[in-house]
Amino acid sequence: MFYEAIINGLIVGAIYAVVALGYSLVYSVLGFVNFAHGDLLAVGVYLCLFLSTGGLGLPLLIAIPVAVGITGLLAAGIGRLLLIPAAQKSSLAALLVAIGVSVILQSALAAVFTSEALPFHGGGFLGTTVSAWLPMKWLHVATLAGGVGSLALLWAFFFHRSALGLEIRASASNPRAAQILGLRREQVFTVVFLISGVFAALAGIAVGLDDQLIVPTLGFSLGLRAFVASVIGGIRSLGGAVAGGFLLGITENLVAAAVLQVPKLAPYAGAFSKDAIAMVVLALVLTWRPRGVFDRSLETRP
Amino acid sequence: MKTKTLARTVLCTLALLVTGCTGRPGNQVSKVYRIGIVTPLTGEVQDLGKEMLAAAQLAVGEANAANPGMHFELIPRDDQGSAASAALVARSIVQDPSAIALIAAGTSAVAKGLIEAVKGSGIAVLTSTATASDLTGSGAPLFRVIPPNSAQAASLAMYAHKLGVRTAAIIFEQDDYSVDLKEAFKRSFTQQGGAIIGEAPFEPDETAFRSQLNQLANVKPGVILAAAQHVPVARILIRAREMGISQPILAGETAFTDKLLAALGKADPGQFFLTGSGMDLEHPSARVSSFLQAFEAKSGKRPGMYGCYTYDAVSLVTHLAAKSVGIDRQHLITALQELKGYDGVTGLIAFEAGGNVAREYTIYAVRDGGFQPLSAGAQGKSDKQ
Amino acid sequence: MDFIVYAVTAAAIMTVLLVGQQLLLFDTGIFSLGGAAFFACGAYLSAVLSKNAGYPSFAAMLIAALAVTGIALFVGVLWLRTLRSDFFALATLALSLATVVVLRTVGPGGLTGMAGVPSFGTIVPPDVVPAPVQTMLLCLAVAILSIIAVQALRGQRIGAIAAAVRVDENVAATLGFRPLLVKLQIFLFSSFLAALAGAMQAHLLGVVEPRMASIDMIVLLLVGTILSGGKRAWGCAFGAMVVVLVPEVLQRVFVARAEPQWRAFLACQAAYGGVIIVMIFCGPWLQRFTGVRLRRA
Repeated sequence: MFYEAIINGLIVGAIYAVVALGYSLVYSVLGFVNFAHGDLLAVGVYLCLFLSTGGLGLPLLIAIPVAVGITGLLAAGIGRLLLIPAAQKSSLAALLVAIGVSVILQSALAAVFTSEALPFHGGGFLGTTVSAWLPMKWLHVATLAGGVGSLALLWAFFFHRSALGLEIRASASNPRAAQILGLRREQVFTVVFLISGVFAALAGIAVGLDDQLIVPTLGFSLGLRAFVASVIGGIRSLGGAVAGGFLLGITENLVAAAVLQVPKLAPYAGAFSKDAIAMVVLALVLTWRPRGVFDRSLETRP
Repeated sequence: MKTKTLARTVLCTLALLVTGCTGRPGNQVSKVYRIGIVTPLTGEVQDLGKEMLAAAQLAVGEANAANPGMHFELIPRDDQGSAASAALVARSIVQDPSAIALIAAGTSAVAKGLIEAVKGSGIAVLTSTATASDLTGSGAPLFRVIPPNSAQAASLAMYAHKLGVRTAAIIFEQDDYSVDLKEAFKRSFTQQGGAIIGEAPFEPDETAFRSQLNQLANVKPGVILAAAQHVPVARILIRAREMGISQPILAGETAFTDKLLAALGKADPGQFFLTGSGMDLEHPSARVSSFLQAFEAKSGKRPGMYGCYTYDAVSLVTHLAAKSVGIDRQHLITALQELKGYDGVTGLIAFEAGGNVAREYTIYAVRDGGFQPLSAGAQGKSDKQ
Repeated sequence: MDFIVYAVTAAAIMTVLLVGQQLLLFDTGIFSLGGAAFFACGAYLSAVLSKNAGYPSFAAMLIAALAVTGIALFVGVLWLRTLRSDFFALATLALSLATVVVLRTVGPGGLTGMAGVPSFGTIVPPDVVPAPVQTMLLCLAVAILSIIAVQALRGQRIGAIAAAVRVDENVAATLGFRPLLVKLQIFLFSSFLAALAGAMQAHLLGVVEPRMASIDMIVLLLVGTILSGGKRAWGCAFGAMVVVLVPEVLQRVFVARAEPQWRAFLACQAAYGGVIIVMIFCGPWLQRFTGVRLRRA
């Protein structure tokens, strides 16, 4: 019973981890919470749907990279045109603009595709279960491996080896010093949005293929929970965001499994729902350990 | 500065109010009968709302064509899936003196809010969708053209019994309709000697269902009831089959929609049974056939169950209004109460004392990409509450 | 005519809400997303008090507003001290969204909320003045009172201290003021107004629902606050009017043109988002606010 809960936790944790990274990256470098990040999941999967079974009929192998690429560019564009200028005014301005962008993205998706649940089929063998003692689909294995793998690759090669990657890390750990040192701010910021957009799109497509029915609000509550995951891990810590993602995923599922075992709690099951847990955890973490679990920064307050 | 802001405020207010008022239809010379319809036109189930609106428009169009001296109009309003919005728009509809009836074409919970809001106004409320058992008898003149949850549950329990299963588990959404259906099923199923061995609730925005299905699979029931709106039922069906859960899955009439078939795609739903009104959409009678053709010509696709019920509800009202010209709200209510039998596309319509239509459900299965009614022996008798 | 009465009443209620939010955001510099939470709690509490416990509507509204202010006290003491601006915003966001969840699960009426909340009641017999008009006049009176109260507050010492705290807390502290106390007082006052507005809304609509604290409401509040302009409480009337009337007008326009209503709703949402973005970059009264640097608690 709990073994299954842990497996389910890993499945959803991988998604949280990937999305949480986007929040952490933007917060570390630019200092604000990118509310629009969650909606990029929906943008990515709807684009993919439109390119493949829902519109142009391209095979998934082509549709996925194209959709991911477009979403990444869209994220970079929104960042460059709206969010970065707002962040330069103040982080609260950027927060507000991000909220506005999020609302517009959701409305746009619902206007074009309607709020009805649309079928999203595809993936072939990816939809089959691995085996009885590993109750996951190959899709989940791919997401875990791909997600964690590409994060590791990104970490090893981009962030540690390339010049731009080093500049991003520097900006993330100390934006002021980076500014003083004259690091390439515009490029750093834009690439940060590009990366977060790419990962969001991949996560969204993975979720869409898993659920096989997509709605425009697909990204919103998922994004919010992923944000909580990044706060748990320490919103300035990239590795912490990933760890927080898995932690939240597993916790959610363990609590759900435990609650379902107790019939008396059935009417109150909603109080233990994923959203409830996420919000309570957020409030608790912000109150008692706003830095997050894994944060190692030198500041005494976040 | 202060005067300027005040002046600006007043000016903008006036402008907006004027624009707001122009949406209202004025009084015309000939007698107009208006029928309000409150349905979800936004949100996740907006496909159903649009279908029902199209069906209502079809009915009104036919009524106008058949009765040249009278003019019927719809007042379509969006309930946005919320009882508060429904209450608001219902109250504004009721204030129009030419509105003789109100169709509540949304979920049971929304219908409750709507009925509360118009209780004292003496307008007849018909519903083509709200099946919760506690709606009738609430003091408002409510007429249901769709049989209530107790009837659905009874047919499903009967069919489960026929399949030979004695244990059942229920996965249900936390909303009025689903909880009511779950309770009704529990009653019917245990009455026949069965036992409910597991229940798993879920929130309306749930998409994963893994925890709930794991829980239910572990108790190994003979059959699983999915009491939910059509999108979650589709998700549950897909997820359960994916997870290797092979038990028969039952669902209520909410699942009777092409959307479910589209969501399944090529996936095999396994043993999946749901309740329906007894219409055979694959081999329709002449009456049903002409309706289906007209609907498809109008909206380009086939109607689901709710479209059919809504068409019947609106046609019933126009039929009664045409029979007695100059009918007002009170007389319409009396006419509905005294209705002996109206031949609707969903079957014969006559209302019992509580406002429920006196009809039973049929069990359907998903076969060959469509809904097929099972043989006559599969039908259940409703326990009249 | 009925539409006008309803619109004015709804706008008056929204004005009460926005006046408090404006004070909080522009005068004291506190970015709180918790207004929706207090709005919903005030609504629910007043509904329960009047429908279930039988209190008269006016009493229920006042008691509810005061009780919810107690919650605000707890929250304010907990977070105003320790969290800096953006984290405070996030914590209050968590509060609002958690409120939605709590109301959906253990709140009266559950997912769809509670109907049958008693209306305002009448002071003068209804055949002399129709009940909806009485409600409207009452709400207008409350709105005007709150505007006057806030304007007066701005002229008082506390208003000046709040301004000082917004510009630079640390300097304000060295000058002998107590920033935390001032922030708390303003926070409590704005929460009281939010709860009162919620209670009034409950009795106007007759229904309370969990989504009164949802993200849609939060966005609505943000738009209204931003549109109110930073300086004058009368601007809140303008913001309130826009927020109440735009969805109504859009719906009627779209219905009249036989366009699908859902497009109207989406257009409205998108417009809100657009307004926020445009105002951040262009709104003159916002320069004062958006130019403020991040402050430490």
